[in-house]
Amino acid sequence: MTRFIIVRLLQSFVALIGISVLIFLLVRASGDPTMLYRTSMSTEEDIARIRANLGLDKPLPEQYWIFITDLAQGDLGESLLGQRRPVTEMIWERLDNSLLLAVPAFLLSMIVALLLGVLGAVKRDTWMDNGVKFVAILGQALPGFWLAIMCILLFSVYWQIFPPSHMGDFSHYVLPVSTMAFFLLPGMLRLVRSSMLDVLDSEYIKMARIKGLPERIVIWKHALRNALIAPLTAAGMILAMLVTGTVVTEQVFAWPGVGMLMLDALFSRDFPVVQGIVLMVAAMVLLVNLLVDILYAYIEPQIRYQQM
Amino acid sequence: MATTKLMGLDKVSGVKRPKSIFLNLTFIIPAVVLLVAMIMAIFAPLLAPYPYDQIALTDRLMPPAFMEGGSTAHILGTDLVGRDILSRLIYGAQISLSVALMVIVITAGVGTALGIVAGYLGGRTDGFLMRVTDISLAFPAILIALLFAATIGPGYWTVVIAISMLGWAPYARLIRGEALKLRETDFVAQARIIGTSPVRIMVRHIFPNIINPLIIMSTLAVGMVILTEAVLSYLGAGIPPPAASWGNMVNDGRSLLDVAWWISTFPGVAIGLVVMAGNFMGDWLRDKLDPRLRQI
Repeated sequence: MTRFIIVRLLQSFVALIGISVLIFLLVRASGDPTMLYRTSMSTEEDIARIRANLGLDKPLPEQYWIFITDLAQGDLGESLLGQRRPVTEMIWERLDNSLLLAVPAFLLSMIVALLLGVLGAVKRDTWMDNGVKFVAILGQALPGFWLAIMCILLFSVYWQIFPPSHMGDFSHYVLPVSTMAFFLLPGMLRLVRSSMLDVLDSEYIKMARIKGLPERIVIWKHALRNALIAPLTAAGMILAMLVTGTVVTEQVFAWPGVGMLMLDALFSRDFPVVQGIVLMVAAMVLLVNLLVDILYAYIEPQIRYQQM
Repeated sequence: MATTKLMGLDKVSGVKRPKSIFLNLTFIIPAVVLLVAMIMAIFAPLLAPYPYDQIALTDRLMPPAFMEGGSTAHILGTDLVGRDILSRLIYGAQISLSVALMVIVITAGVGTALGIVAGYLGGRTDGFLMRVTDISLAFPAILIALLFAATIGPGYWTVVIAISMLGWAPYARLIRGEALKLRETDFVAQARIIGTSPVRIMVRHIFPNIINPLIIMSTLAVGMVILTEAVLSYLGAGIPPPAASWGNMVNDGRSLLDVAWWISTFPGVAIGLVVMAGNFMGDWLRDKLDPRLRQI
C-alpha cells in the first residue's frame, strides 16, 4: 500500500509538471510572450520589467526554472490591471462565492440522483425507469447554458418570481443552484443507476432478501451503501463537471465567483489571472484523483496490484 | 447458459431487437435530424435566404413569422442588427458539424493509435499511456480551451485543437481494452508465430477488429463535441462573431431576453436536437454492432 501511494504521488507530481510545461510552452508558442503580459497602458519600462521577470533573454530551461520556482512558492504572478494584485489573493476572495454556488448544487443533484437512480434501478424497465432515463437523456443533450437562459426567460422575465442575476438573498440562489444541479444530474444519475443495478444483481443482496429483511432495508442500507462506491470513484469526473458547471453558471447569472473572474480576465486580456486559475484547478483535480485512487485501492485491494 | 454468460450476452438479453431497420423510430428520427443538419451544413449558401452576416437595421428584432409583427421574409425572426436567425442557424450547422468532424478525425486517429499500442505492447508502455489517459479523462476540457483562447486567441482552429487535446483519451481507453483482448486470440498468436512484425499485427490484424467500437465511439462523440464547441462559443472563447455558431447565437440573445426571446431559444433547440440525435444514433449503432459496449 505504501508503495502504491508513493507511485501514485510521483505520477501526480509528474502530471503537474506536465501541465506546467504545457502552459509554459503555450505562452512562448503564441508569439511574443510580452504581448500576453502587457496592456494598452504599458510603457517601455513595464515591458522591460516583464521581460526581466519572465527571463526572456535567458535560455528556455532557465526560463522554465524561474516559472516553476515561483509556482512552487505559491506565487501565481500578479494581475496586469488595476492595482496589480497577486493572483492568489484575487482567487481566494472569489472562492467562497463559487463554493456557495457549487456546494449546494452538488448536494442537490446528488440527492436527486440517489433518489431517481435507486428508483430507476429498483423499478427496472417500468415507466418509472423510462422516465428516469428520459431525464438523463434530456439533461445530456440540452446545453446547460441554454437551459439556464430559458429558466431566466420563464422565471425572471415572464413570471418575475426569481431575480435573473447577481448574488443576494435566498431567491438569488434558486435559479443558479437548480440549473447547475440539473447540469450535473445526468452523469451522476447514470452512475448511481448502473452501479445500483450491478449491486442488486449480487449474491449478498439475494442473501439479505432470503434472510427476510424488509425490502426497504435491503435497498436503502445494504444495496445503496455498496452502490455508492462507483460514484465515489468517479469523484474526479464529477469534479471536472463541477468546474465546467461553475464557469458556465457564473457567466449566465453574473455570479461573482472564480469562473467569472477567469472569463473577465480572458476578455480584458489579463493573462496571469487565467493562467493562475488553470494551474490552481489543475492541482485540485490531480489532488482529488490521487485521493480517490488511494481510497479505491484501500477499498478494493485488487487494484493495488493490477494498476502498478 | 454458460456460453451466454461467457460471451457477456446474459447482460443484454433485455435489449429490444427491432425487426426491421426501417420501422424503428429510434433510428429513423435521429437519422433524419442528422441528415437535415448535414444538408444544412453542406448547402448552407444555397439554402440560407440571407448571408449570415447581412445586417439590416430596418429589420431589427423582428419576431418569428408566426407571431404578431412577424413576416415570412424572416421566418425565425431577426437579431439586434437585423440578421436573419434562420440563415444564421443554417450556417451554424456548418460550424458545429465541421468542428465535430475535425475533432473526431483527430481524436479517433490519435486515440486509436495509442490504444492499440498500449493494449498490444502492454507492460510499461501500457502503464505509462494509461496513466496519461486517466489524467486526461479527469481534466476539465473547458479549462484547456479557455487557456488556449487566452494564449492563441479564440478561433476555429483554437476550438478544434483545444477539444482534441483531451478528446483522444476515451478512445485510447476503449481501444486499449479491445486490443488487450485481441492480443490473446488465436489468430493474433498465429500471426506472431509465423513471424509477423508487431506493427503489421497491429495494423492488419488488430485494427480491422476494432472498427465497430471505433464507429460507435465516434458517433457518441458527435454530441459531446458539438456541446463543448457550443459552450466555448457561448462563453466567447470559441468561434468569434460575426461567424454564426449556435453557441455564440445563444449569447447574442442573452441580454435581449425581455424583448426578443427567439434569438437565444432557436439555436439552443438546434443544439439539443442534433446532440440528442447523435446520442440516439450512437446507442442504436452500439445495440446493432456491439451490445457488449453498453457502458460507454
